[in-house]
Amino acid sequence: MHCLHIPTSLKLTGISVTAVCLLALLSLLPLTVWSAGTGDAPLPPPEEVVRLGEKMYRDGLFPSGGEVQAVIRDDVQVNSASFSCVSCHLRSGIGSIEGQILSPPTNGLKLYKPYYQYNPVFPEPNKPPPKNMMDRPGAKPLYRPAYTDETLAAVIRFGVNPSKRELNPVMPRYLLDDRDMSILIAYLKTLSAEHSPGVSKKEIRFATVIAGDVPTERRSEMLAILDAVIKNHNTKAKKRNKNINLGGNRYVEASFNYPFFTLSRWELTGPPATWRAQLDEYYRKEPVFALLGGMAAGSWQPMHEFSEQNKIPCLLPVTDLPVISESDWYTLYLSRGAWQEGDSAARYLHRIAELPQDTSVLQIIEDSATSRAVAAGFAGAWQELMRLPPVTVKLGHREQLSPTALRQLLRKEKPDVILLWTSGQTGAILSELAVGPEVPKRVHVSSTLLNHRLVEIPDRARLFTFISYPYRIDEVKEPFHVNARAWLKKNAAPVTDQRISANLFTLTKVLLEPFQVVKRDFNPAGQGNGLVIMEEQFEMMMHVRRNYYRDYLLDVIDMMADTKSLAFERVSFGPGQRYISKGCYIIKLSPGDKPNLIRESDWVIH
Amino acid sequence: MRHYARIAVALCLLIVALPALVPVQARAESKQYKRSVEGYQMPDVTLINQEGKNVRLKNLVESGKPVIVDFIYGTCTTICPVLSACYISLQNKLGANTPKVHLVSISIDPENDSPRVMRDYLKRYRAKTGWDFLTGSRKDIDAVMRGFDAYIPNKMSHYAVTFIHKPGGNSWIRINGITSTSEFIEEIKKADISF
Repeated sequence: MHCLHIPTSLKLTGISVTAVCLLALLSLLPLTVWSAGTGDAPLPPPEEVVRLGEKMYRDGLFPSGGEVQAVIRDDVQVNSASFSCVSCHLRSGIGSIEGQILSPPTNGLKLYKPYYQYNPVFPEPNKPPPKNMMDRPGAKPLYRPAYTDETLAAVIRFGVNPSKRELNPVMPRYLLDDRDMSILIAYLKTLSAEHSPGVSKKEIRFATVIAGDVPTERRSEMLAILDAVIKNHNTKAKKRNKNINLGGNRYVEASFNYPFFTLSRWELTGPPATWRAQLDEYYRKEPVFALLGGMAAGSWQPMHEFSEQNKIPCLLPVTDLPVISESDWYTLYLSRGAWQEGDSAARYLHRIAELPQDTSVLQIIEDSATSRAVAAGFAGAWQELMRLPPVTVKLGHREQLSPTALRQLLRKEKPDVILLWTSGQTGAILSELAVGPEVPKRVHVSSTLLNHRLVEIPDRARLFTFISYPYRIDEVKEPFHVNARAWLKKNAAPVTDQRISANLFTLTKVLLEPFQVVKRDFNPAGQGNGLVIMEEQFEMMMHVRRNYYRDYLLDVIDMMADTKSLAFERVSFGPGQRYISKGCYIIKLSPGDKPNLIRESDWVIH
Repeated sequence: MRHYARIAVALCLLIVALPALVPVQARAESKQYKRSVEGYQMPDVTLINQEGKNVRLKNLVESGKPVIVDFIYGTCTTICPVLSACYISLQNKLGANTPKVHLVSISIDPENDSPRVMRDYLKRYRAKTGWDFLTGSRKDIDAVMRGFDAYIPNKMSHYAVTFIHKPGGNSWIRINGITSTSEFIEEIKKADISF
């Protein structure tokens, strides 16, 4: 097979007119002259090929380090560092639908199979059209034949598939030489090649982690809602599987019965430094597909690192102390927790209160992880907004700030703003501040540090106390909220002011929807026997079932529409977004034992 | 019900996608975007740019410069990178004339698109001066989308649409779909914008 080679210089310089011309010229040649075989240089060992291929697929970088070059619509140059294969086909390679664009699977398992499609319905004269998809004629026109290495290389370079059909114009045409193409194709063959651990034909195993000394009522509330979610899936799956397998039914036994969900409890004891080893041991004994919910007496970091290193999704742990990261992938948090409260306070002072640039801030931090997290959130945003760093007073373990020490501090610093990132002693300090001699203009506190007992803020301090409040304010009677509360009640999941059920109700979306049990299926009898019929249409609906890959579960969640929440004003998803609630109100309290929450800001403050 | 709705969407998309399956030669001459001339009423809202500065939309539109607007979001995977590739390709083509045309991207994911996210996005695309990315409150963003007759309740169902406005008047060229760079420049020239 004759091979063509693109000059190496093309990879190293920015794409040029020459490159575009070269691509156009090459496109005139018969596709068969291209080869996906090795170029002059031998391929590296298989593990290295996968690593390099992943770099091309995810980062748009050549094995040599330069950016892969591509064009759209003949003359739109694409910067592959910001628009690579993973952008549309996602990490799992199973594809996506977004912006009304269908990106089909690119994993080898599916590329190297022929695709068929249903016949369009052409009703016979005087006969009504069939009501259901499955009543359509059984013939299966070929959508496209299986790819070969050669035709795959051709479609990547020229956007023309083995049926000689042109792909959607948003698919870039990539300038790859034979060796780089071989590396990319070798990677695609390893992508989502086999189901993830924790999956069998009969069940998908999940676990929830309870780490350290978690109060009984909190863990009971969490386990109740998790059990309700699992039970909901299993009840539907049982009913559906029974129908599928009924003798005499129009369905024959299929290989895609809905697996049941199981949930294990991974209880971690002792100091946090030992949690990781305990997690590893649990996982060794019982590999699970994903972790659900979870609670810890302390930071979620050990579990976060476990998920990240083992590539195990962890969906919605209930924690005020998530790991704040822009790039980590496998833990999907409810919010940024306590950190968000500090961040929102800083942005409120800058954008809404519009305090002068030289505003002085006094920050009081107690010796707790939550206090430090709120302070870190404030510091990050305050620095980004190019403000003067706050003066920080760190209290020792269980140290109380005495009235005398507080007065001395205020006399010395004369702050425009006080950040009181304290818990138990907040009420007492606010009372002291309220009696003067100089009443402060602004004191910011955290509702999480107050353990949501906002009423402890004394009446006389409420005019100058601003609270970071990361939950929705109004009780809503919209259908979503009415139905959600009815669902919790029906499934005996207690709803308390801890908001655990309210938070984890979102699992009915991020877990149950991807594994949705449907009453009727696209696939008539025989679909489970290896033919790929309309599978693209399944995947474009973003269902995990039959694609039991951990990365695909996260891909599916990433592509979900924003939704309502019992706990938060709004939750939203997006590729790589790992904190589904992004908001936090700044509020004040009205006087009295049952104060109103007075909104001082929007839900999201930039 | 949701499942059937998805099936319906899937089938609709299949039908919509059928033209893409037409053999290459038959499609070679056809344009892959739709163009129309429209008039829009802009809401009087103040948005926030990538530097965290307030930007009044009316002032931006009436700045005396040609303005081109699209709707994107920072973590978008498919449509937005293509639209942004068109923007940067245009800027590269304009060369020294780049500052003469104001490119504006408006976020449809305002919860996540903070000034920092938008700054990083523009940096990733190597945007030159003259391309601004705007975010704002959900309410204001919805109002802007409605103003352009481009409202979508869910960012995952967005589509490629670009608006070209020449200074003065209320006329916008609306482009549905993806243009090549030469088509983009051709459309800009049709708006009597010279550079």
